[in-house]
Amino acid sequence: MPDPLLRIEDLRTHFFTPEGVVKSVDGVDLTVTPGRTLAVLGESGCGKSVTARSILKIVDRPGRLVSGRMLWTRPDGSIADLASLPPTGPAIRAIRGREIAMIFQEPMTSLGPITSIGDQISETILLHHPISKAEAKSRTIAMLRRVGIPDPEARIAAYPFQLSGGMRQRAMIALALCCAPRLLIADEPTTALDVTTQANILDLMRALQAEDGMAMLFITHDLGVVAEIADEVAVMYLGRVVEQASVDAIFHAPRHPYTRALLRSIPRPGSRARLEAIRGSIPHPLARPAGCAFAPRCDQAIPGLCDTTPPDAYPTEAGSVRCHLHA
Amino acid sequence: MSATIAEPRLVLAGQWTLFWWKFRRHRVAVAGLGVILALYLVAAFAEFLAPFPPDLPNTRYTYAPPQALHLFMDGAFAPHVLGYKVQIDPVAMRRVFVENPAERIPVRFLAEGPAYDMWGLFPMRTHLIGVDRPGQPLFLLGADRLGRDLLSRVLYATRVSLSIGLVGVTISLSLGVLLGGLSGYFGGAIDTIIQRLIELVRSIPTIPLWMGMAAAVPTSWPPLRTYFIITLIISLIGWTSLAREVRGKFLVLRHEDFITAARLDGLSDLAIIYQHMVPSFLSHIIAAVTLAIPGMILAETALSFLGIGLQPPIVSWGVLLQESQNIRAVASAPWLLFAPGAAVVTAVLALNFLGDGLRDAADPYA
Amino acid sequence: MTLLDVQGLKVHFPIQSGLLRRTTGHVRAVDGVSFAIQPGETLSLVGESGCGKTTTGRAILRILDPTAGTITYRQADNTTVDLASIDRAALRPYRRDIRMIFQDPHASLNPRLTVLEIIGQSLRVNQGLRGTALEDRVADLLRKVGLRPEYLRRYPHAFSGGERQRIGIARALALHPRLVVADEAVSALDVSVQAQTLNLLQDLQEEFRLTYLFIAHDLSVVEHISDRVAVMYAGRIVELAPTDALFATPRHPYTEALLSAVPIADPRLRGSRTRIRLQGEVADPARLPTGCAFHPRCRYADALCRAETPVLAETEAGHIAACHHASTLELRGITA
Repeated sequence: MPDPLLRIEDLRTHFFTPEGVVKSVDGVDLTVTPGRTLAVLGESGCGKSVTARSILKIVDRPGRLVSGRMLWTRPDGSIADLASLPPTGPAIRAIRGREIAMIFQEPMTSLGPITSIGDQISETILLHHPISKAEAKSRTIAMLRRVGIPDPEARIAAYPFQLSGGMRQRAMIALALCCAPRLLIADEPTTALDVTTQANILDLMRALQAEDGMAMLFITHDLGVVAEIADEVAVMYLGRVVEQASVDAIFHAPRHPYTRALLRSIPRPGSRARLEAIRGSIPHPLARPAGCAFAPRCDQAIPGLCDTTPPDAYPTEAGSVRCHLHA
Repeated sequence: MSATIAEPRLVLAGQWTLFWWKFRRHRVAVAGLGVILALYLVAAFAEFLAPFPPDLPNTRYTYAPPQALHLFMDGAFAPHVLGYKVQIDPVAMRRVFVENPAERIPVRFLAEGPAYDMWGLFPMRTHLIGVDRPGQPLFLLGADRLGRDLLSRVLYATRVSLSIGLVGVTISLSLGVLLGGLSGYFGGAIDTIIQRLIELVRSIPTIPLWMGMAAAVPTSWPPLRTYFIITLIISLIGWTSLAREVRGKFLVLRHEDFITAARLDGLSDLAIIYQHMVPSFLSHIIAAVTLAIPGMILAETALSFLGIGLQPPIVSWGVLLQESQNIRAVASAPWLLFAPGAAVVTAVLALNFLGDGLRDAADPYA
Repeated sequence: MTLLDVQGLKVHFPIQSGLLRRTTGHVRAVDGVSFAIQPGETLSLVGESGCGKTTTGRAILRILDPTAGTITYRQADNTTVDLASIDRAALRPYRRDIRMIFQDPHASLNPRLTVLEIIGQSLRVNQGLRGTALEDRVADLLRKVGLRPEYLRRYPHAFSGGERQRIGIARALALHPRLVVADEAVSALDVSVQAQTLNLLQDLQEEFRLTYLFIAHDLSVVEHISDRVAVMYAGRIVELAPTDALFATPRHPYTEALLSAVPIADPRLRGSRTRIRLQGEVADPARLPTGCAFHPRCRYADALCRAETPVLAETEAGHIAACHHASTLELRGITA
């Protein structure tokens, strides 16, 4: 195993709302390896997006990083704990965008509406590199071409609203990758796209990763997308990683009852058998069950244990699983 | 299936309960609400709260400065003010009031004083505070050029100024909801005509318009009629923003899924408006109305200050400010400016804070 | 006996511009759609955003007025009526028979009303139910969709997305409908809740002999729930076939591309599938290309495709496709 690029240990990000403390991320451990893709899989409210935003310290109020460590390996080999950096200080700003970039589900959140896409990319390049404007422009055109935007010399002047959803997503990827980051965080980047566009964007991201060797942290709720893009998978449920393993192990030898149930609940091609749904629904974050959060919906839950004691993470052949059944 | 939110308090809370919970978190707005309630109570009971009628002159005490209220006498609780000795300043050649420690005028609670008709209906003599004998000075906020008690005048003016806000907003609201609703619900040509009308009204500079219309009000009219005409003039502008608000809400709501669902359920257009649309924007309208009142109050104040709004003997904050606008008052009787000015600022700020809080709470589902 | 027969349905929206709001063109959102729904079946309309599937569903419910075409509905007493041409006021009896499930479980429930008021609305208006009679009916409906009858007086915000969708389903079922138009009914739901909802829809179909027009973009969900599938592209149906035939042996190149783009939840298949990647953008319904609307993105297109618009033609029994080369192309489907 190569040295990790990013190691997250016991990350906790809580939201202090008038109704109570919402523990969106409550003890997450993750390891991102250089050049590989870690998919964070989970349903709404599991904390996958908050985890991603915590890494870049862009959690919105009333959210706050409560504890944990996020050890990031700088290009010079030194290690920085992102958790300890002030969210608006120069240290995190040097890393944000330059070393770790992020793309979102809705491109309009990161593309400014009143500046052409070319200018936005050029400005970002100039912000981090001491080069001339002309050189930045030619790099911008090259970047737009790399992400598959046709006729980049002309499109450099286009505004985001003039592009289709897929092209906008490509422009956002170009913006994120223009400084050759070592880690790209992608938060549901294809969820809002049509299936044929999604396929093209996934192809593009895979190809760019192969060329640049960057690592990816890919946040999604879609098992199909995970199977297409991930090397490693972390399954999250209610603020914790319940299982982490290689993508093959997740799909073919899942350990956690939640992972298994999730896989059984999706329609399979060619099969029209009745789906095995997970009973109940995801608990409200303010009414988090004691013990294992999945216990109330788990068929294998052990009364007196699973509903009282939160399980530790136990090692497996391919990773780890947070379940009493695997103690 | 388990309920997602365990608290029964929250699951059974209707929109107004949620509205109140959200509003309550807005501290400044809650304070604003308190101030506004207090001001309207003052307006309602002005006769009782004021020690004197607003037009009772006391020629011995013209331009008397405010007296300090002493609460204790010889260690016992006995609120009193000190009488005034009048001296002539030989240099400035004018009268000055000097406190006379020998003359202690007790301030009585629930004192019998000048007779008045409560709300014009019940003859009464009891005032919240008063003095023993008629003619004794009690000028907690000072006196004006006729020796009338400024406190009493400000209290009476509160009634006029605040009610102009309410009446004006009511007229604006009726016009705004009617025209905005027509515009938003029917759309098409009706919408276009009403929108152009709104733009036309809004493009007219307000001060000259008010001045022109107010100048056309004959001075021979009785004060009450002038009061209503002025209110009407002010609300002729105010309705446009409310109409836009209502129209916008109609347009947004028309395309909501739950409105479509109601139509598929077989509800008539009228039933959809009353059962779904109006409840959905009622809270927004309340917020918009609250934010419109200060505009009305300021408009009245401005008109009266310019001398073209309400006229004496009606007392409003604007009338009081108008009376203080001479060099003598500013130089030697600044309280004539401060007291009504402070009242206007307090009321407008409190209404704005309240309106902001209401606006934030207006969509408790956000 | 066909339950609903849609013929040549068109929904065009005028494009207006300028101060005088002059009509300068038309968005052909739905441009000549024909299909028939048999009682008890589930017919799915699939396609990407902007293909007109939602507009088709809304036109059938007359939320939108069709520009042209007929929508022939066969009532329980066997008489037929054209829903496209009758007056809005006369629609009421048919709106009891044809109901809708919305996509967004948040926007489709009025947050200011209780569950009782939401589900009971149609019963109150159409059957005049009041008081305990209404409460009993709504409680019964809640049980049917797997919610506790005690939830009657709760407000929508007290429920999760999946539970809200159940409330929406109960509302659709209240009047014993014969046809339910489900517009992306499970798209907004979490994976684990989506399975529950699909199962519920299937159970209810069996119990009440419902017919579904299922509008969706997720092909794996469509494959799971449908008897027949119609694929739409740029306002038209390009292929309609029984589910198994459509997925195994597609006859239209667009269907082939769509199937090939579906991510499959098995990492071991990652390298094994040949992928077809569509170039360019979905056709703009305001400026449709000449000939076949799909030809600019089609890898099999030739001069004929650019010149002439293909019509739907039967390739096998019950399998129709609108492609000049439907009978000669060897297209790849998804095999289990």
